[in-house]
Amino acid sequence: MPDKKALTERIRAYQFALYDLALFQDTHPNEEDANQLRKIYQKKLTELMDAYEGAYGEWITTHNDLTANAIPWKEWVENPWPWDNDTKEGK
Amino acid sequence: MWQYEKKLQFPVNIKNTNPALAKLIISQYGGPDGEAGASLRYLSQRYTMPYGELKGILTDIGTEELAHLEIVSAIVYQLTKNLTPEEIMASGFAPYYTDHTTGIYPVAASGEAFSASTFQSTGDPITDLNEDLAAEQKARTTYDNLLRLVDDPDVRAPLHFLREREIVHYQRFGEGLRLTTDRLNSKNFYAFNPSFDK
Repeated sequence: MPDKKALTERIRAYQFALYDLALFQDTHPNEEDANQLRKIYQKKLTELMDAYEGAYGEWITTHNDLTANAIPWKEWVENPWPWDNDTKEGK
Repeated sequence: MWQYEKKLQFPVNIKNTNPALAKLIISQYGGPDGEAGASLRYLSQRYTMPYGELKGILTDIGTEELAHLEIVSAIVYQLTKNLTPEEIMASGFAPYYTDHTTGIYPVAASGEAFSASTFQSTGDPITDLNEDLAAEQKARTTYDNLLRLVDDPDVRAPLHFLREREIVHYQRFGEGLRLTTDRLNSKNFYAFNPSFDK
């Protein structure tokens, strides 16, 4: 079983890297290196997500996902909120 | 429209309260160079931008600033938990407490409430992008000012992260300005306003 905290941190790191890359791609929409880097990060993130979800169940941080992935309301309201200390991804 | 994610962009886990510090850090929520003004500035300016890259960068950075004001709010919230009246009186937090208890209110460290008059949306892309470049540097200066006053590593870590983001945003806005001038008359960037004059 992979370490949950370490896995969570790696997922968050790749999510942030993809987000930061998005800002770069806003001003460099035709840059092929950035597109390649995005593909590498996306692949890595998918692998990490699969590892997380295989071990710990679905990774969900939103209640307004329109797919079946939306978090159950009971969990949404009862799980810790991000501004409380030691929150774990709202889970 | 937007979706909310139940997580902070950078974690905030502060062990020791410090209301005196909270009263200073709240400035990056509602002060003259704070995150609330940053977000409203960019999200207001994006409509009249003439190029897709500029609409894109202002939308994405304006959205990230919302995540930043959530981080600043989380810092202030955690610094002011479980306070006693004695701590409030001793820390200089009493004026804020009198008006807001420990609620999160957009206000400057010097006490003025948040005001839209701290930013502009001119409908002129060169003017707006120069304002945005200045805004990122002003926010970076404010984070530098705060970091000189803060010893607690639990508070320094998110402030450092936010300071770094100001520098990244400055870089992206610089690119936005360059790709704007690249599409204008190189002999006179100001010959016309590409958002208004046809």
